[in-house]
Amino acid sequence: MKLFTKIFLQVTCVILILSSAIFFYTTCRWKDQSLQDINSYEWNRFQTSLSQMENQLRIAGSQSDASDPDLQEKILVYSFRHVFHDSAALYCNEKELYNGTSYEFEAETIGKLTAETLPQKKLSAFYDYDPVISKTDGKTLLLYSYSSTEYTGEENYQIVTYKDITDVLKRSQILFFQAGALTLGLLLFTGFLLFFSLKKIMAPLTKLNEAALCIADGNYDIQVPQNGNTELAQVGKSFNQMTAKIKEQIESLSAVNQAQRQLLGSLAHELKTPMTAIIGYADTLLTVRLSKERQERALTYIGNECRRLSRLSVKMLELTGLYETGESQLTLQEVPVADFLDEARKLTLYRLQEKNLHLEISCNPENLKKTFDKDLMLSVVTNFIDNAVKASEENSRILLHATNDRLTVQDFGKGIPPEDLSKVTDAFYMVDKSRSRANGSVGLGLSLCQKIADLHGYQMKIESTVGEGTKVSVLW
Amino acid sequence: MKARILVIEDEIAINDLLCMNLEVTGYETVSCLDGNEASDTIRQDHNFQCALVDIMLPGKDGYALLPELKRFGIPVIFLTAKADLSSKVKGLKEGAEDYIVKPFEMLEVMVRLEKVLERHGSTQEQLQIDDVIIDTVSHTVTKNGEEIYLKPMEYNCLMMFVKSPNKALSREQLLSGLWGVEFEGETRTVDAHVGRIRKKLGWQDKIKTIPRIGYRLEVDL
Repeated sequence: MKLFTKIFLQVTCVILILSSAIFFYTTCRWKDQSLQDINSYEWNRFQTSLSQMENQLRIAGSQSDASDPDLQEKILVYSFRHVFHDSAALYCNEKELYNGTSYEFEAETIGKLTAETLPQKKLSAFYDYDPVISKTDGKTLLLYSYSSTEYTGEENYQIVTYKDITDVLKRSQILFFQAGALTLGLLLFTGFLLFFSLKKIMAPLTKLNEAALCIADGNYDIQVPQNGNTELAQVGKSFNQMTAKIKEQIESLSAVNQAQRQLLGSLAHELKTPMTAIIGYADTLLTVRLSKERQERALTYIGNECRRLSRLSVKMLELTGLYETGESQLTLQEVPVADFLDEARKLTLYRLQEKNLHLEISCNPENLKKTFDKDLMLSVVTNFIDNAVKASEENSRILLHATNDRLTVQDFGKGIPPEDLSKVTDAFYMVDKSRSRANGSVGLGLSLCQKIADLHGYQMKIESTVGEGTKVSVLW
Repeated sequence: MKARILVIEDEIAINDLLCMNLEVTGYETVSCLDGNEASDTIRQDHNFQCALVDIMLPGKDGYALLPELKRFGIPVIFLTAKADLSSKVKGLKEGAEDYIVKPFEMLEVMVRLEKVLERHGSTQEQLQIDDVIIDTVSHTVTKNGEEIYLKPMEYNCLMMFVKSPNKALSREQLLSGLWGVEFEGETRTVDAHVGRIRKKLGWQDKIKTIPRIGYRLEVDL
């Protein structure tokens, strides 16, 4: 959630700063602008009024006697009133001649004002708070003043007029607050929107995190949403692919592990019996007073059990060798199947003659060729024939048959009970334990064949009926 | 009377090993190589004091044989390669007297068998070896009707020999059997005790010294 807070705070701050900057700028600009407008308008009006008044004064001055100050004054007041009506105040020599406004102006201040303001022709807004009035109702006025000294030199009068801009200021203040409230509202709204959209965007990330934790715990079945084509969906897709791959690999690893552990377990179990016998007889020979005949028997047992162990170790080496051999280490070559079958017959000839069995070989089509590891497949076929010999009665026959899609060894012996059928390829599994041991087998033959078939990518199929015989096929 | 032991074990080498050792020690044995054969045997003849049974057998397995054996009051000791706890618990819960895991040592089998026989009162109260009679109840030893006084330790030592006749016992075995495993005595002590037993019973020929191993009581059974 840290990223979420970070993004959220940063974006909100940026929006806040930007919007308030825009807001302040626009409101200030608006206020200034409106004041300037008012100002220039009033100033122009004031100038026009002034020139009108000058005209009047000039006309009046030319018609009347200039020496009478009273008359002069009256003319001044008259022309002033004619032009300004009641919107301005007239001073002469710091004395109020006429004041049509509801305000009092301080003559001194006005003099100063005039002096200060006049040089700057381009008048920007300036405010003056009349001390007396501001106390009563706090209005804001724009003051314009004019001093005639510089123009005539004779008559020294000052005109002060004003414009009430309280309303404008008030409106601008109201606007300020309105805009402020609007900005705040907008900010809240965007913040709200941002919060939820971020939350929605971050949701897959949160899910991804949960899924990763689940996988760390060993649960590989979890899936993260991968719809859409946003970056996060792509990450989700890759994540799911990764999970599937990991799951696959873990499963294959554990399967191999399981198989090897089973093999090891059965091996340990299979070692126990001969070990017990060997240790037991050795101890007995050492400590017990035995007759000559019994001593010999004990030694024979020790010899037999040791030979069994050695056979077992050879087979085990073959099997573990096969476990380590990948498909890459097979020496594949194209083999004429008819020759291959004949070779298998030669290898098993001795075993077949022991029980006087007849091996019938057929190959269809005769010039069939297949690609496989010849040595390994030879061991498969001899194993099959070996098993068939063990199962068969004397003077029986065994069929060795090859077609384009399968290689079959069929005997007419005692068959395998259905409940054992699925287990015969397990390492060390023997249907008839005591009989098999007496035959000298260790129970690894079919397990080896299965492994070799797997390496070639072939399927092994065993069909059997008790009393009728067994048919073992390799689908190649 | 010799105790009769039924040995049911499909592995002929192990079966013969057990029979050989039991016979030498003075038991009578009957061996069976598979479960069905064993089942038939006990139906016809059930005068056995104990049965040593393998669990994984062709035909009926050990667990299936257990109730049949118990019906005739034959105590059962399982002898098996199945070392996992659940098999042990199952075997013992279903009524086996003991459970020995392969690979086992013959001496252990002997001792456990003897304990089972003791529990079922199948041991003889009086043991006779030539002219020496040992009364296991009163702990007295008589030779030619004349009582021979043996110290407790000497008596225990004698019993160890008598219980495994024709079998060599190492000095260490004797030492730990008599004084316990923790006892760190000298093996010379054993020699002294054996020497005294030999002298008191006149068994200089019967208890043989086996070089590098220990002593053996040789009896013709």
